[in-house]
Amino acid sequence: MPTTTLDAPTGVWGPHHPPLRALPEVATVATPSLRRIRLRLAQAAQDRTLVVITGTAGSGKSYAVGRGAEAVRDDTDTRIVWVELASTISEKALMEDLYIQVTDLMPPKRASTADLRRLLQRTLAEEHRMLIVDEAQHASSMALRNLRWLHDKTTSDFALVIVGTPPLWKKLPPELKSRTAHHVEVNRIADADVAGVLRALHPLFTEIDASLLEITNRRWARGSFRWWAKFLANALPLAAKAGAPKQDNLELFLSDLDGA
Amino acid sequence: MTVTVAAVPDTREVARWAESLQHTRRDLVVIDVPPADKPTMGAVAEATLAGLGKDERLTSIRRSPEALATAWLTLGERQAAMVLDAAALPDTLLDQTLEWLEGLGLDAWLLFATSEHNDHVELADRIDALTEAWAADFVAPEAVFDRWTPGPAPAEPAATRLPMLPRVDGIVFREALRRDFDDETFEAIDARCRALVADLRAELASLEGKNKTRKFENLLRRRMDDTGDVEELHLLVRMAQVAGLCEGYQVWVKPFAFYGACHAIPRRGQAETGHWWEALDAYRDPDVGAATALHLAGLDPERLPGLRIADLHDTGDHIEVTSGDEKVVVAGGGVRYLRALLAWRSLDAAGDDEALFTTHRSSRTRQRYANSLLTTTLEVGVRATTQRVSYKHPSTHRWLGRHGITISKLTYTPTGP
Repeated sequence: MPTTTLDAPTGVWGPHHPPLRALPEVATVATPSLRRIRLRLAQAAQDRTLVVITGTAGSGKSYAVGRGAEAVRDDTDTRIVWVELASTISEKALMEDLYIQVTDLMPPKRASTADLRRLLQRTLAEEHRMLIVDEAQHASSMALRNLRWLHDKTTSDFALVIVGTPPLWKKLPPELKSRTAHHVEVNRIADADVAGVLRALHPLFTEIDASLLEITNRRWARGSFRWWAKFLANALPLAAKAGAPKQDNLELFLSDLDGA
Repeated sequence: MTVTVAAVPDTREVARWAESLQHTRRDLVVIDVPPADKPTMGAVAEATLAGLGKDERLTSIRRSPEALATAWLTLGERQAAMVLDAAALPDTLLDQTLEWLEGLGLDAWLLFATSEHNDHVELADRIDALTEAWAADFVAPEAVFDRWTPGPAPAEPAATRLPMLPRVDGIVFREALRRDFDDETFEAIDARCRALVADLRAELASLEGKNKTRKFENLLRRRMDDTGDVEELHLLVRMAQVAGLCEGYQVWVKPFAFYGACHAIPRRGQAETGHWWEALDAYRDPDVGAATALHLAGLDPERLPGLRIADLHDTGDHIEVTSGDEKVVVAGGGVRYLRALLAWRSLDAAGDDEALFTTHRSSRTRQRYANSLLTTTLEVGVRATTQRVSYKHPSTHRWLGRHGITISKLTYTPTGP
């Protein structure tokens, strides 16, 4: 069964490394990917279109979509429905999960996929929503086709955002590909950009030499935002004890985090 | 039957265009089979029922969707069927669907959705095989869009033609009208009043034989039953008081009983003004519309459970129903429901002597079932009757009594104006 978050409280959609949000002075970095996602989500909310966002694990796509969804929610009268799939999911399981998320109710007993689809069709016409399906690479092709069917209806009043790893785009059925208004690919942090991105993320990184950050990004982080988030969550408590971490200490942190 | 095949752009706009056809074209049924691993003929029939505007929630009877869809399509209202995303249906199912549509005499339009993401070679092979097997025409998407343009949106219900009239007795009605309305409105309503009184007086004057009071009651009931809205009913009853006085009858109206009954007791005329037939079309089973049509035609609801197929005779223009000594004629909007029900019973291999209304629930008596047919129509905002099937149909005298109306002869007939 998929893991889902019911009506997440303000600002917690997306981050897969929750401690990052608890750290002081952490800023949301307006990377080109994040800016593009914000723009596409705002457009999708307005036009009720389909947007597909793909990126490797840890590249920050869910985080960026979460922040984009918050902006949409704050700027427009749109209800965000976030469904996160944790494992392979059939069309019926997806419909059940969607039903719970959309209505805050348990699906009717013995309801078939067709019943759930019809119930959802009616419910999704009632209010303007943005439906975000995260980790959609786990969804079966038929489950995705059902999403398309719901989205196509003239009564439907929702923007559809499908988020997943790069294989998602390959497995996406042709009818969804042809309906995709925008496909945003989220890239890993390039070595050349890493210093700028991390220094915007947290002031701790201003203390560290740009070339070292570049080497670390290439050798250990491999451009993963999630890796840097973990690094920050580990390094900050140590820095608080010993003052700002010296460059010499970085190797120690890195050896601890190697393989993380 | 002709089969037309087209490859249309696989976009949301095309899907929505097809859905708009479903709502606005009465000559076309759009079949949009939802995604399924192994779609069946049942799924095609369910999609057809949805395309016909049937609400899947409005049924409690376990019936084959294929038989139901067939029964509705035999009415001859639809000339063509459009199958959306035909590529999603397996070849065998597509053949079955075409055979079914051919049996119904419908033209078939198969739309294959395609985009740059599809395997065009495979799609072309399927279309080639289909056009060869069914001698189908392959047309450009523009030809489909030109042929099937969405029709006008359904008309909004017409507003009542009369303003709220004074709630006073007929004898002071005209004076109240003059007091309450401006000259123009007064003239318009007064003209209707005069015409109505003249009409009623002519009818009353033509009554012959004994029991003229009963005949007046029948006449008034018939005319009251035909009124579409409450104001029309008020006008009629008040003018009946005036006409009655002129012709030697007293029409006594208990005001509060009458005001309540105007809203509470359903009338046949409301079927048209209240768009009952359109509302009843949402039921998958024709039984509900058929029972309502029979009741509105004047058949005693008590007779519904015992009605047999042989009791109905379709003349082509209307349907005559004979039950015991009672004979009614169903015409207008209700006829199609009876025809669809007869078609369904025929598909169910029912003989002439079998019951018209049946249910799969063995524990449910026919009477309870017939009762539910007339009372469940509240689901779509239609109330054809307030009485249970087991109760006897009220006599005209009693029906008028429920409206607070009593008619008697005047002892001393006043002279005419």
